[in-house]
Amino acid sequence: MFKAIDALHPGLIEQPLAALWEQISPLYAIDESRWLRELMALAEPTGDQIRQAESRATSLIEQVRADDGAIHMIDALLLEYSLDTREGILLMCLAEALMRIPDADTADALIRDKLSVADWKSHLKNSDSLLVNASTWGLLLTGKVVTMDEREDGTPSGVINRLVNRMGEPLIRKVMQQAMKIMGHQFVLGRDIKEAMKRGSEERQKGYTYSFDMLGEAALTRADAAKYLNDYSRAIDFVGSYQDQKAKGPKPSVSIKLSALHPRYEPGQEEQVMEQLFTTVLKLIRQARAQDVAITVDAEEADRLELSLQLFQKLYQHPDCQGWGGFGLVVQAYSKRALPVLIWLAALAKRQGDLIPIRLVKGAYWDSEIKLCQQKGLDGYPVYTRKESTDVAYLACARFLLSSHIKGLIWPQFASHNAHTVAAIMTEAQHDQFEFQRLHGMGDALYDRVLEQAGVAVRIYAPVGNHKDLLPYLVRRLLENGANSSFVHRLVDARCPISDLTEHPWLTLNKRNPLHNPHIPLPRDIYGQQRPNSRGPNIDIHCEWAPFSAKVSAWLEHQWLGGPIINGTRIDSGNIQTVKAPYDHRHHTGQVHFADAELVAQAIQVAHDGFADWQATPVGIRTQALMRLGDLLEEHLAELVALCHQEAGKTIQDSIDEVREAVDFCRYYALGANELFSAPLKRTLADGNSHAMMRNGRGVFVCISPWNFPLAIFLGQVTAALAAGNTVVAKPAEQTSLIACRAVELMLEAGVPATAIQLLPGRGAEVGTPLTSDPRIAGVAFTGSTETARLINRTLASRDCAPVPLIAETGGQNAMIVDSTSLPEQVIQDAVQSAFASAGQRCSALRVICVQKDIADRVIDLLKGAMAELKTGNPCLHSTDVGPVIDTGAQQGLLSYIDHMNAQATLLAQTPLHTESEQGTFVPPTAFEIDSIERLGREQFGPIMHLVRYDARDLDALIDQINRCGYGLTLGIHTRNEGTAAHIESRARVGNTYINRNQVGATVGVQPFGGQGLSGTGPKAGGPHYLLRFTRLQPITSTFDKAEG
Amino acid sequence: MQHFDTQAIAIWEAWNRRGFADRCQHLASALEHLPAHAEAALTERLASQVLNDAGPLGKVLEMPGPTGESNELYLTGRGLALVSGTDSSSETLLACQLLATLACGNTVVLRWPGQEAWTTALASALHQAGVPRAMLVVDNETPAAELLAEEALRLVVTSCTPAQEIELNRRLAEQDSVLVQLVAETDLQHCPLLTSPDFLLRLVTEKTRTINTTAVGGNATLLELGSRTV
Repeated sequence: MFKAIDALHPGLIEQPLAALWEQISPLYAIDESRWLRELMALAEPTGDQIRQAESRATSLIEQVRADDGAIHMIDALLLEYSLDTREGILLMCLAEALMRIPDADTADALIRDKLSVADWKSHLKNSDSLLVNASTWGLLLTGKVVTMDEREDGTPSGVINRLVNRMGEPLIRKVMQQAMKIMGHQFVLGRDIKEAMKRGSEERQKGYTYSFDMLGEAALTRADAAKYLNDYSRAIDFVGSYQDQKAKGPKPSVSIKLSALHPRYEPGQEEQVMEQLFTTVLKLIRQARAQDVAITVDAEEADRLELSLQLFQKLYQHPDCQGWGGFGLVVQAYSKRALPVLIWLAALAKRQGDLIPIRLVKGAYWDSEIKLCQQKGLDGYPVYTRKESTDVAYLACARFLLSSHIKGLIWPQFASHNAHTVAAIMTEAQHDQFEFQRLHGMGDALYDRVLEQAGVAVRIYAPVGNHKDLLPYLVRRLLENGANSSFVHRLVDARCPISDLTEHPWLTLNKRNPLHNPHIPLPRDIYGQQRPNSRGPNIDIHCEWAPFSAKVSAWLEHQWLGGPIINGTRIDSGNIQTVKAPYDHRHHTGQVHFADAELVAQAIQVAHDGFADWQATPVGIRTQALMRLGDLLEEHLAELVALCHQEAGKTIQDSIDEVREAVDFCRYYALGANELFSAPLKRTLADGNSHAMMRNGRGVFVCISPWNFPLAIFLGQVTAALAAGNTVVAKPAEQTSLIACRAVELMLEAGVPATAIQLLPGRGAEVGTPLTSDPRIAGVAFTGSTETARLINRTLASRDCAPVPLIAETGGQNAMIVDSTSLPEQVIQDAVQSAFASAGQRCSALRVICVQKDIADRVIDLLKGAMAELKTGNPCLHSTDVGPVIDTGAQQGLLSYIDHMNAQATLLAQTPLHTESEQGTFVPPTAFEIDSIERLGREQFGPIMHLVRYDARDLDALIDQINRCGYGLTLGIHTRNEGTAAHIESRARVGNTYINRNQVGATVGVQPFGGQGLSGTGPKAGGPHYLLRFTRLQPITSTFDKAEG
Repeated sequence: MQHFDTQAIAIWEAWNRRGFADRCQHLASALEHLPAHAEAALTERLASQVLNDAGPLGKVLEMPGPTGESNELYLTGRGLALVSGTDSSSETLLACQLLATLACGNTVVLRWPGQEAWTTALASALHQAGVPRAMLVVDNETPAAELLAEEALRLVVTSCTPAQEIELNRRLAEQDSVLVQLVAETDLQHCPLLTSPDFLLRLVTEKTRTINTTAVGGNATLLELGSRTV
């Protein structure tokens, strides 16, 4: 790790670019406290600097507060509706959704839904602002975003309700929408660039200049990207040719968002990005340079940073950009990589001699960065977890940018609304070769003073575009900037002492111990200290991906050998099957020996004989082996990922997730068993006597697992049975026997006794049936088709012994209900992920999306565009979204169904297959529109999605139809109306409901998984009740030996 | 015969939404009005135990997980249940099984051939305690085979001999429908199943509810954590 303080040495940027580049990625998730100590050394202020900055900040704040007109529209809104009030949150939620709802009924329902939640009355009296009072009218909505104390957050107000009753819904709706338009008007400078330039004229006369941004959601389709490109191009033309004689400041610039210009702007699609997006942006650069309009590339999520920098370098070094100095980008100070990024950029500028304008912001995706890392089980966060840490990092970066050897290489643009940050930068600066930036509508009073007193240019970052498209985006900004700790509203809040706002963040941070925020656990610790979250590498980050990819590659040519494992010995049965990679049958993965009836009998006997010993093994010893197994799986991640590619056709992320889920199962059930089985229970039986009871294993459990989760479900079943004290005979899916074999080998290595686990790869008829018909079998855990579950049930029932538990997880005919309050872009991302990830071979996968007819056309357009961008192919490649289906049988069945539906339904979209698809078992992702859910027959276990339109008035009929399917596994709901979500969720007879997200990827111990009806028996895997079904309660002190069935 | 038509489903959903504690309260109020039988005191004791155990099942479990998302696990009734007595059953067992099945949010068809008067009186006592009529119907007329073949059937709760249990299990397994849960007490002396903490879990199904709370683009809870000063 390089020393942050070295940034001040002029020699550092003389180092080779490649060497400086190598310093960036390793800081992605570096230990926060360790890195902050480095940064603090760089950012440490002198006593004079502390006093000067404090004095300047105090003066600025006093001046702002003394100005009666200082509290402008948005500041006033933030002050009144700060986001530590429920109403503040609700305002944002409403602003996010209301304007895009096309139908009156749904808009009214949303308004109704929100009315009684918050205490709007208390806000009616507090503000003189027109905007605040106009907005107070509509301020409604939910309560799930933040948990607050009911005593403090008020009781429902009757005021608005009474008004609604009096005035009627149409009028209220109109008023609400008008309030939202007022908000939109304040947040957005103009609906188009012409209007923006006109509205900005007054500020430009004061000396401000602008950076215009045609904001909006990221493009999901080529059509959307083309529209954004056109917007940017027009903006550049207009800005370039616009003459404002009264304007005083520098010429305005244009900000561009790369994710708006390409539908697949992501590291996995590097090849496309570096060619197609490069060409697109280069066109804009040529145009902008010709018109002398500077361009700034906006910052986005942390995973895209390295790709952005590569693209920036390629563009910056292009001859058409050389000699310009108007092509810049945004760097986010909350990123641990910010400083080495700036150093690398300075070195780049030094080599080429062209100034790079850099907007230094604090960062706008903080919450989603934290969430994503926790979900992925990464080693750390790419961002700081304390606000003061970001502030210190910002000042450290500023010190570097303002140092004399950087002058003339980088044009710093400091974007902040924090008076102390502004003051500290003014204190630090020894020259005037920089500028400040602020957001349109925010910080006006503060920067009016800066402009007057500092003689430094100030640029206003101004969103331009349709209000209804922009509000969702801006809400995110507001949530970031309007948090209760944010400087923005405290600056103008006279109740907040000025001294609270002027403490130097270095001093604040220096008082923290530890330097990182202990209230935000690392991704590994989100389940507490006893159960570590499973680890995963981030495949979008070079320093994690490169070594991991190399390790996986080393296994890709490996030939695995598998077979029955009985009493710890792998047996060569002679019945050899060659395993071919599903994505390319020319590639052989290995060989597996299948078991026969004789081996079945041997395995059962060993397991039966081994039960007493395993049952007698203290639970702590049993679970120790399972915890060790979890660790071993993590150690063998690369091999297991390679095996998932080669035997199951799984993509990279799917394979990582597969192993992680298996690890989570090991730890979750081990911990659960320790909690449940360590101490006896006391129960009063029917005779009135109290008995001490112990939970014991039931005997020999058979675990029959599917090929779609060949490691996770296989080990989920087996580890639960073992943890509960059973011995296990496992029959994996015949297609994925090698993975199961490898898992059992690791299990034995982890310390599970050879008599406790027996493995029998083979065909259902030859292995499964003899297993389940044996009277010594004390229970079966099965995941697979509904039909096979019935068959197992019958076989078990045919035995002349008491019924035993059959825990069956079967299929689903899973729906997603989408109403017109939802955000179509989010819907499509979640729907495509739910339907086509893993080639649709998940029990939870989306099979039918039900879209309110008012937005169906837009949703269908986006779906078509998004499906056109999916990449089928070799699952070992980072660029592949959709791999093969498991085998020829599955492929033929799915292709036949597609043929059948081509004649019966409307084909909406079909993703073209890649060139060598005929070498494997690929099925093109396909979407059909059907007129009713009732047209669906049995589940199609592949990448096929159906779409039905529904009328909002028929929502309950739709739920009835879904329930009548008989399946009940997963359901997706997309709506901003909490009442609607709750209603659907409560009525739907499904096991797992997902609201406003995708509906796949249940996490162990977080989203216990399993269905009802035709989808399974329960209890849910990865839930607190699962282990119990593998046990029976037996009295310790009584002689009666019959336990519950 | 149709015990789970549209109207019955609507009533069931409403019953299910009332929650375990509320249902248990109603059912407990019926205990002293149960029809007379030989072991009434035992029935009251066991039934009270069952209802005491059922009440807490209404607790919604908040699962740990990543920030910006809420994950909850809760229990609901499975749907249509057949609570059936046999010649091995006792009033005590049947009453307790019935109360448990209702407490767990299921719709019940009650059947005990040869005990029509008693089952009718039992149902009547529960109806008077607030159990909707559609939630509990007595049907001693429909042949067992027909009841077991009902498509909506999710659960059979009974007390019987081990041999009867095996036979009943086979008949249920023959159906081409969902895997119907058979919950049979065969040790009539100790009733280990009825008194087991796992018994009630056999009568319910689990639901997981996951909400992306950052759907509007921000996570105020996390922001609050991020700004803590210790």
